[in-house]
Amino acid sequence: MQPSDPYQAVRAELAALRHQVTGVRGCVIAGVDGLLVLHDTVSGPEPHDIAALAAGAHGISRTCGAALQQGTFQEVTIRNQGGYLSVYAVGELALLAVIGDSGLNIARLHLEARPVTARLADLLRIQTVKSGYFD
Amino acid sequence: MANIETSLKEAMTIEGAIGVALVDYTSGLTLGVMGGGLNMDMNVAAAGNTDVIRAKVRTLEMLGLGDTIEDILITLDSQYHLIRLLKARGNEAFFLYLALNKSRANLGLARHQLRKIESELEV
Repeated sequence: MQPSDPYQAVRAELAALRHQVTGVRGCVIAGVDGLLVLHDTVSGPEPHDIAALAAGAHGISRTCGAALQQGTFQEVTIRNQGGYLSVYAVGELALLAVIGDSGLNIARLHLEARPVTARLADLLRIQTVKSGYFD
Repeated sequence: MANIETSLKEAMTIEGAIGVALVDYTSGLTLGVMGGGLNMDMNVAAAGNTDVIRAKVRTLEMLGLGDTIEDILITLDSQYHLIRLLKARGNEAFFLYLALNKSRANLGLARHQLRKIESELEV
């Protein structure tokens, strides 16, 4: 990490999430288009792949939200036999994807991640577009 | 045998009860909560205490005692927090979490009542 890194605060948030919640393997910030913005992963799946998967999960979730008239997307969790993928909305244009192993305390992750997404939206200065843009 | 709703209600009748939760400690998610009020979010308590139990389970493994946890008591300045693990039922791993007002509760009685509730609880 370079001292001049403008995203140091963002990286710190991601690292904190990984350290605070046991079972978190890595975090990825992606655009809703599936392109990687930033990541905090040491090993495991390719961050670009996680970004694309997060966008996919977001797509179906957003469609559900619209079809059921439940408003904008907030989060989606996929639980597999060997782990989790949780995707949270960061503003309306970015996503926070968290990969966890099967021992992840998912309830704790949700509690920790929600305030993090609010801070990330602020740190990344993501402009909120008027609702209706994605309808 | 009692269902979750009945068991939680019964736990809330224990003298001094503030809140109670039934928690799956493989995920930290609650199967049911009751009480807690504004000052105590039982879902936060459930997620946090999941880590407490996991730490203790790991410690026992490291010590190689070959024993299991029956219950955990945490004493605060003004509250008792009582954690009782449910007897293993297959792959499921649940615990009952009970917060008590220290000045109103009878710890011995509360522990006895919680044991009874646990033995009758059917998830």
